[in-house]
Amino acid sequence: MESNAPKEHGAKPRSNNRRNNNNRHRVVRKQPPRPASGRQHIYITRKTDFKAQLRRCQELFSSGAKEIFLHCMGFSVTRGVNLALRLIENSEGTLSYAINTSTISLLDELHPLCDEEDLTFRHRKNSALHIKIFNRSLFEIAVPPLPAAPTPQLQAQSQFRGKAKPRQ
Amino acid sequence: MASQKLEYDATLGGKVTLPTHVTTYHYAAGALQEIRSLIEEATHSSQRTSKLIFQTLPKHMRRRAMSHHPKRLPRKYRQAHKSQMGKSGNHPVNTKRPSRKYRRRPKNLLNEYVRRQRKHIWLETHIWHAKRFHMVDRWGHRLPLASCDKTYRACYRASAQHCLLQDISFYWCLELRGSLEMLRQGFARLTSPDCGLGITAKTFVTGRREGSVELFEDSQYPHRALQKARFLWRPENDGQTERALWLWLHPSAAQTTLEELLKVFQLKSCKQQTLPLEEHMQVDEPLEAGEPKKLNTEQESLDKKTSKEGQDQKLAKKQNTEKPLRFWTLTKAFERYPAYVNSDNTVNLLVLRKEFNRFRLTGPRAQSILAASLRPHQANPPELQHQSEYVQAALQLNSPSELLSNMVMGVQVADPRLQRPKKRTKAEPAETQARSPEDLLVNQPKTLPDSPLWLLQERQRLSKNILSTERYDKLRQQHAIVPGASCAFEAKMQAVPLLLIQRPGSQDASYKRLGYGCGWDVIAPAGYGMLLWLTLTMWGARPGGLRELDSVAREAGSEMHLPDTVAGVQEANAVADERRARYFRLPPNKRTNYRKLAVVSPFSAPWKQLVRDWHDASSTGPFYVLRHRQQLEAIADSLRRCSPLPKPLPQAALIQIQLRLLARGHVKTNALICLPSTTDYRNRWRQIKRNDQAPIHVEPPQPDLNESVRKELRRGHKLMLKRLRGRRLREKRRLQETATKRVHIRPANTAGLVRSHLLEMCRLWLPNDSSETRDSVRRQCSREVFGYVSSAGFSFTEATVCAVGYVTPGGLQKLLQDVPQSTNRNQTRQPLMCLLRDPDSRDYRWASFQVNLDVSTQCA
Repeated sequence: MESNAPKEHGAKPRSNNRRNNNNRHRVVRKQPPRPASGRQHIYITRKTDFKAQLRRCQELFSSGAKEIFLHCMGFSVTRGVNLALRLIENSEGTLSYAINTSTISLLDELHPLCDEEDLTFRHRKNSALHIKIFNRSLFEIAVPPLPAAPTPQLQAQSQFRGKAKPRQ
Repeated sequence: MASQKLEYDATLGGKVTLPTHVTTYHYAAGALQEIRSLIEEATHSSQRTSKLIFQTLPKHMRRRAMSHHPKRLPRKYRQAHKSQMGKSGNHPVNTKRPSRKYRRRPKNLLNEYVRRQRKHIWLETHIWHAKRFHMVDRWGHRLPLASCDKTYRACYRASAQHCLLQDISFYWCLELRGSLEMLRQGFARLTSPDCGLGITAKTFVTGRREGSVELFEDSQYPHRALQKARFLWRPENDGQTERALWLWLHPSAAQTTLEELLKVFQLKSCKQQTLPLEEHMQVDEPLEAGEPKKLNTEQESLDKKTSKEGQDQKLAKKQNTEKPLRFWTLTKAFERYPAYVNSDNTVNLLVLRKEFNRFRLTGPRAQSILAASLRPHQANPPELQHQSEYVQAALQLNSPSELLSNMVMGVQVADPRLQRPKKRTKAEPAETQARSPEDLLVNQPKTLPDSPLWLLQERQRLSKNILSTERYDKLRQQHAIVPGASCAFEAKMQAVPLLLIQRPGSQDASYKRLGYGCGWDVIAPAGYGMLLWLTLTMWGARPGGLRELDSVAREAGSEMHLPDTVAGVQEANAVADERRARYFRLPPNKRTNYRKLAVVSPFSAPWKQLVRDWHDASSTGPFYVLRHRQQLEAIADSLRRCSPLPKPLPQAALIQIQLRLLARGHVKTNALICLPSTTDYRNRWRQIKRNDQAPIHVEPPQPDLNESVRKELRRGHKLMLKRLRGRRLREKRRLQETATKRVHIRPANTAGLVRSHLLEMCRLWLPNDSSETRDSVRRQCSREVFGYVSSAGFSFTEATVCAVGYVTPGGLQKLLQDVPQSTNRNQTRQPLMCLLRDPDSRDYRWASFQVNLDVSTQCA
């Protein structure tokens, strides 16, 4: 399992270390805003299992989604790119992608540590990536459903077996 | 009357002569005797008389079978008779339970509800909950514990992705008024700056944000913690020096905290006051109008029903006629809100119980549910326009945690009944956002936290003018032509002021995903609880109970009540009793033998003994939970760097840690946190290499020396009972030989014997009390114990078993000393680990942990 997973390189997330945190404040990060919501919008995190995310995307496609969007920000950009590439690699050429980059402006709260100070804010920018993965399969032509009544022979067979088999 | 007359007397049966006059002193002596006997009778009759009620009745009022049927007694004696009969064991004829039709008549039903509320306070949503939830008696209330459906996981999902709704109106609200300086000085004695921001921190005083403080008994920090309290300042009015503050107290420790506040601010109850007569005009001002009051002057007690003006006039008249330096006592028969003031009337305290409804919404969808159910009132004055616009924009965001943490928003909304969907519907999130979250964070209108809820008159007006559901339905029947269409009268229904308080949820991204447990607290005026509750549930909020308060706190990696607070101690005792009772309900072959498992305290965590055993000097002081932020940070820092802990160690302290199991296994509450030995560290690498999932160490089973003693005791006891029975049987047979009638066997009367045997057996089953022997907690098993888990379970957010526990600093120090130094410098340093063992198991498993820095600020 370890060998299969792609290695991740990327910017380490900036932590609340001592250097940029003087003693008068505690930095509290807010949940970043989401550009869109819905089933086909997937937000990549750095904690979620890679395989689970991959499976989630594949299940979306197999359940009939035409396109999905992967949104990733900061540290998770590499993960998102890896995920998209893996999806396309596994799809044997049926999937394609388009990438947009953007910058997200974030606002951190600086919580005071002494009574005399008031709460202040800190502006921050972070890079974000929006990957659209879509199905470009030529064979995916909308086929009208077959007429409901099957041939009598087939019907007899299915009755004999007791359970109708779904047609491939 | 001068001549003697002969009169007929039936009782004497003949003619008697009566005297024409009676001597006064003879008569007085007789009357005195009579009065004395009457007084005697009145004072002592209840103890002295051995008669039953129906026996004391005069002959002509007695009826046949009176003792059997209470209806044959005069009505005023029935109650006493019933209780007498009940005490003696033979109950009078049980009157049939009245028919359901009778019981369900509104008047009777209401009477019944009032009767049942005498014992426990009901929330406004009680009846709704009682139909759907398991109810428990807690803290003087009858509260919903958990839904009757299986909703444990559903409630987690709601708190993480949708919206969980809980009624926490059982919290007490105290209103404190006074100058900022006085309040600051008072609270300085009850809190400590080490625990975080004080109550008068600049960020809270404006009323923009809700804060929380740890309260301790008067200057006892760090010992004797009371509880964590949330507080909210009333926004400043220009030019007013008197400020108001709401404290929200948990009911378990609210009474203790209230007494402490009274002591610190030197407050006296307003229920009974002795006041000089001349000042009565000033005194009446702070008292609320419209309350029933009873005035007792020294000279006379005035009638309750006389109006206040009448009293004033009377008193004024008296003042003119009598000397000015006279005192009178003001006694209020009933206080709706118990009020307290200090001697010079600069600080007052008001206990506002049952005055507000506080609903807790947890989860990101709380946004859309609130947006759907709260519509700003149309007739809002223009100065409130900014407020309602801001609230609407804020509720369009994806998650409450994108807003300012602990922000307070006031809003005046239309009646929540008008906002209900026809069927239970999921509220959909808004498509577009009117304002960006950054804009909302920085540009808040000044008037945002203002609310008329702070005014007593306003609250009274609200509860008086509320349109009852019955009246509303009648009006709808009359006016609504098309079903479901809005009516003209609905626009005239009064606006409901609400306070929305944001809860930020998780703020530590390295431990828990950002914003888990975020949501809103909604404060609604009394009377609107059920109306708002139904609207929120109709928009898809999932109702939860007390169980969910604990489970959400556990998922967030914190605890509702720390073990040194009043509530924590109470809860631990109650849980220990319950577990003990359950243990002895089991048959002996299903009981875990804790002696064999080497667990000294299976039902509760022995914090006191733990601290004693790890203390360098042998002193048994009280323990406390370390809340000093700088100390915690220093400890966490040295844990990260594997360097020795900063000196001096707080010896009597417990440090809260968040644990997670690394691989398999399960822990429950009260699990042992142990120090790994060097062999464990060695074996760990071996296990990793071989992909071995077995526990790292298995406690060797200890011999149970009491086993044979117990068996002997049980056999002896059974034999004893048998022998006694044989004796009684022989006695019966002997009597039967001579008797003509059938003789029954004598009752056994062995209850005392059986009970003492049971107590002895319980003592033999459980390990020795850990307070008796030195070092019994620390060295109870083959690995040294340096902490206990206080709440544990499978965490859905982390997909592993997580726990919250407390360890001693001495133990941490030893753990740091024993950790093997990695030879390879480039290798990333492993996080510190400890061993966990369930009290019901012999397996030790690895767990990683981290120190919780936000013990005092985290609002569970």
